[in-house]
Amino acid sequence: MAKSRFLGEFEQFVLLAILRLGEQAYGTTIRQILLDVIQRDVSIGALYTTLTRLEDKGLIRSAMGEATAERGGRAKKYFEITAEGKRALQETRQSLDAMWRDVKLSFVGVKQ
Amino acid sequence: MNKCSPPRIAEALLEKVLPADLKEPLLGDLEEEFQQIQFNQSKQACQIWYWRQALLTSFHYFNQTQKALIMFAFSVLFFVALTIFAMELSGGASMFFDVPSLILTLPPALVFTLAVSTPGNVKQAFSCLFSGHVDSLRQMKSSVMVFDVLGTSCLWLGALMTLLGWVAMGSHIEDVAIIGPAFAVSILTLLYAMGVKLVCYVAAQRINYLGQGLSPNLD
Repeated sequence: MAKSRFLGEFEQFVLLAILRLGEQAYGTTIRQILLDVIQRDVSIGALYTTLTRLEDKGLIRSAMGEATAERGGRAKKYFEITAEGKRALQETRQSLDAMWRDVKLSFVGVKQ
Repeated sequence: MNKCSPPRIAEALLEKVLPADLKEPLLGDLEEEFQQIQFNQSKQACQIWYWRQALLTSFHYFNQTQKALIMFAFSVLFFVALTIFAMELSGGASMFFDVPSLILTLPPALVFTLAVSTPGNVKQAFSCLFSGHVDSLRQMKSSVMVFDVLGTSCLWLGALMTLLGWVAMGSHIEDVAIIGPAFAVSILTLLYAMGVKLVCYVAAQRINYLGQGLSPNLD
């Protein structure tokens, strides 16, 4: 059986954010989409730690972009998901779907 | 609307702590977002937001980029703690503190080091030690030389001042009451000198280790 690679929860969120943003995926936009969609306000340091780890695993690749005035003349670092990254995301989703099959959550008697 | 700049100290902290390849994109991202949030938040709230990001980010990267500094500081603190423990076991730490003994050794040793090197080299040696980066073989050699001269001249000064104290005691040998304290002070000078020599030896070895594998062509 081929060795599969499951992703952590935050890794999945970051990869999905990069996929949703397409060519506009860099630190600020990824942070913003995580806040807007899942209300998760992560520090820029935590985000870059995860991005660096994903890049080391070969799941994303990065390229330096243009420098703009509103960034104090500093360049953006754009991120793009690799084929291996897409495969890892797909495998994780399939595994989660398989585990959820036939599971029924009952909240009777549980205070919410 | 008057836009303000990110807090300079927080930026400087990030410049110090971040890995080299992340400085530009990460600081740029923070500045971009800082400019954006100024449209709907007060100046104070923006500064707090930036500081929060800077501190949380520094926390993430401090251990990664400042490991050399942490380990050196830890080893020196461990040495100091053990020395104080030994002093306490010997009858109380207070009898081991004597400012004149320290003044007789460390400042002259620092002057000797500046005399055989340059202020720039001394600064560079401490910078290499605390940052954990040695860029060239020449930088490594000059930094090791700084700690060698500092430690060795401190040790010799300690020995010299101890002998000087003994000569002074010898000339007042009839007055037994002053010999005890005078002897203790003279020995303290040597003790301090040996402590400084030990720390300088560890610092020089640390720089030697950091410079392993540097090519002579990089000078």
